Amino acid sequence: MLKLKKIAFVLSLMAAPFALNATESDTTAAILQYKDCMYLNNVAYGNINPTFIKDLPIDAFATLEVSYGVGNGDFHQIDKSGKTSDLMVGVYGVRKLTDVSFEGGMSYRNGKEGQRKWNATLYQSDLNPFILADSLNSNYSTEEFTLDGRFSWEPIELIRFGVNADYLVGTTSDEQDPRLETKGMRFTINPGIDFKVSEYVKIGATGGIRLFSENSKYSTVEVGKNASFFVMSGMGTCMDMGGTSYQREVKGMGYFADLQVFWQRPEYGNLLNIGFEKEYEKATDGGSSYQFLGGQYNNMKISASERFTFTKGKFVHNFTLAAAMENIKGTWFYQKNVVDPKTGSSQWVVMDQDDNKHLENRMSGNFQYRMDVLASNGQSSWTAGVNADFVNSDMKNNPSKYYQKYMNVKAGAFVKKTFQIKKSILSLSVGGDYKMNLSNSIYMAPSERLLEKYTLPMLDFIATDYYDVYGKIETRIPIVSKRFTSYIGVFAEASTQRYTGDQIYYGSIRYDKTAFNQFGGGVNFTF
Amino acid sequence: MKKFLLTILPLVAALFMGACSGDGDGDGDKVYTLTVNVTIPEAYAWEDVTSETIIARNQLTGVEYTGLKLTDGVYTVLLEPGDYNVNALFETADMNLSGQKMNVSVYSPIAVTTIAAEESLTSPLVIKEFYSAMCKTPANKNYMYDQFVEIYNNSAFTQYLDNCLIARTEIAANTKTVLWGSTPEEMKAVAVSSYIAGWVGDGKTYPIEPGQSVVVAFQAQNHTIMSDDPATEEVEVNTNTIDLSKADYEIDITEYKPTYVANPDVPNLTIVAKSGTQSVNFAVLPAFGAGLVLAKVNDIEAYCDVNNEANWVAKPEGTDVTPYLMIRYKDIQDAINVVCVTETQRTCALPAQVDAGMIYTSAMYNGKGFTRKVAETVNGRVVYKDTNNSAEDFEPEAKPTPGA
Repeated sequence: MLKLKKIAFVLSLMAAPFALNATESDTTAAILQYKDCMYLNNVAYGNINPTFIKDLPIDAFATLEVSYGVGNGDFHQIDKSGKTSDLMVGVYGVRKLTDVSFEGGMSYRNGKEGQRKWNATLYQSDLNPFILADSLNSNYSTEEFTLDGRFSWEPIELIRFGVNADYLVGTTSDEQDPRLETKGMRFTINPGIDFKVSEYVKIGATGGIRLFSENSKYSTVEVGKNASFFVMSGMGTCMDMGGTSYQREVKGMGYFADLQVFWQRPEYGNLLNIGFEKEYEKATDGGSSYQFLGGQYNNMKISASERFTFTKGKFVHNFTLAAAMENIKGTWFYQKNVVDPKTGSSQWVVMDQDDNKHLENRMSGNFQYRMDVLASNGQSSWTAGVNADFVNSDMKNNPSKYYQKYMNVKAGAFVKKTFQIKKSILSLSVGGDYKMNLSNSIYMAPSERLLEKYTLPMLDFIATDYYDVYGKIETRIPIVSKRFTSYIGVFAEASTQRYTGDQIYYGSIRYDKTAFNQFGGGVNFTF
Repeated sequence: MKKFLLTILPLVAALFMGACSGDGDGDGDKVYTLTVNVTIPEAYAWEDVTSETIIARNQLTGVEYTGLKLTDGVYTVLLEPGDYNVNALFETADMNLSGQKMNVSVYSPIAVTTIAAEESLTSPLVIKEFYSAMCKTPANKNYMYDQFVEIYNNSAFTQYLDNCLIARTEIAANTKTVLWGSTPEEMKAVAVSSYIAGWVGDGKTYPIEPGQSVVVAFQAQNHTIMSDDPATEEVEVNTNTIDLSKADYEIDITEYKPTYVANPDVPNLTIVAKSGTQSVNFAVLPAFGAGLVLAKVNDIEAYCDVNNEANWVAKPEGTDVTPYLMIRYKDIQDAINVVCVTETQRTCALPAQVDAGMIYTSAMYNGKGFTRKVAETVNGRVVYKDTNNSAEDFEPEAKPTPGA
């Protein structure tokens, strides 16, 4: 605690000279509600171009948070757990100097998942069909570490430069045969630039690369016990590489480019972002003993988002519209095990390949409207909003001409009230969503081994109707001392997601009267 | 600003339209054609063939593709690239013909292979293990509820238990005088009696993968627990027997024996017929032995229907006029002459063409069973010995290990 105080003291000393255009009470209010403050006062908040952090409304603060949450219930996808717990420790901070601004953080997560199966991956893309899996429930432990940071430098008024970097590393494992240990890493780096083209308009651009690697190892301890290791090739089509052990390495890379048009007047703001991204992930199985190609996933994504904000009196209105289209192609390699007559060793030789093995066209959209009523200190007193999401997927698996299609919509609303109690705040927020499936269809031969066990249950969950309700209570109390001001916060939150459908999808009633409930809470220290 | 927007908006639209169109719908261009030429023995003509099936099974994925007939002996299979095991299965009125070609590589749009189908002496489904001797209780009483049969897919192809049945022969090992005359020889069939239990499905309801097995228990209970009194916490254990509570199926005879205790967690086989007048306490074999039959017919319910007079025949000799169900030899997947250690009780109910041998345990109610010997292991799949001679194919006096 003493060490934290020292760090807080040093950071506050560094921040003090740059607290421009703000009274001490204004700064206190902004830091107490820093998430709302940064959202409302920077139309580019959260944008992938790091140059925009120069526009953050708070000059300096840091926060340390410790949280714990649990989840329980039968309403979950079959490759997820119905019993989870997560301990999270994270720090996050912002620091603005004259020409340079910094933002970043790091976090550690220790998670438990009870009785999970059907997915051995950690950071592999959720849309990648080439997964490795086993069919036996196990209790998993996951440790994860994240580090992210970005800076923005404004050498002259007309131009700004920035660099963003995100690093994620983790491991997940279980202690029941077949034992799995998966280690994964994702790293993203993207430099950015923006130009001031007129008094109120900036044009920005950023581009970068994403690196990904993941290594999964299955093993069995019990002598003579074989397990099934499913090498999936989309929609549950698979090979069963049964045995006592199996190993896979996945490597991937992606590159992306985003353009921004930023327009900011005192009472109006607008940000248009157009993005393009292309990535691949390629699996190689067998480790050092042999090499079997487990499929290559390719994804091309085009996205656009638009946020418009305007302020009228105490009211701040924000409209956000986003859309994305993804074109996914999975390549499968037809391989033959060939024995070298000289050495007697065998190796897999690629005899043919199908670039259209797994295809998916995916379209998603999102609309949000948020209204804030500002209090006299300039911070949000009331927040309310509505949102709507849309996703449409059209998937094919060849050469059997299997297909799966679905279209889902989700609509929600939320409200948040922040009370000022002397120098402290107390926030209460509640919200809810209703998700509805508009259509779905599937074709797969009844003889497919995992049709009943994997493919149909996966679609069952995607196609369910449900509602969720969530609530959060949070307080932050300033601790004023002679040297600097810090804030201690406590929060508790809960949510429930409940199945509402009365359909019996594909002969299944597995979600009837089921729910998934989550509870959590934590403390934070901000300075 | 306006100029800029006018410039960028068409670009955005073009990008989105490009994403929509993709580059082809990829409707599975990797579908190759395998032509299978099949020859049959000279003793048979193509007109004799009543049923023909060509199956190509991908060695890696296990996916099976069925062939389409072009003309007599020529079939075409549409499949994805890979290495295949191709199986040809034919039926005539009296005999099954089969042939197999392993490791057929299909990595070009057109591939050809040839299979020579021969008279079939082996079957894809075999009895891997069975236990019929039953056991003694700690009080030295005969215990008759713990029998089981384990059925194994000995082939490289998915098999279906639909229309399969399990039965015992009417002739028991202790039968002194056989009263069937020449009927079995003329019909090429064997009479079965007691409970005829089987799988009633649509033809593909009960798949059994290569190298997989199912355990059919007479009564799917943990027979080692004789009694479990929660009041006194006293548990009486019978170590002579086995736990069958995790069997895949059981033969529920509650309809005939109300004292039978069924396990609600284990699915029942359907008792498709009851042949003969006796309602015995056991579902499989008597302790002194009989013929054990695993057969597969075309339509189990129609075949076993008592009104199907072609399949229900009375003994031509003696006073018993009760019709018995006849199972044709060609429909038998596997059958075993189980006899008694006592030489006077070694009547073989099955002819040599079905089982050329016989097997027995050293005593009745000794808790011992029979396990089939392993012939070889192919790509990790165990292939059991199947010479149609039970004395050669089985290890007697084996401790029962259902599902192991």
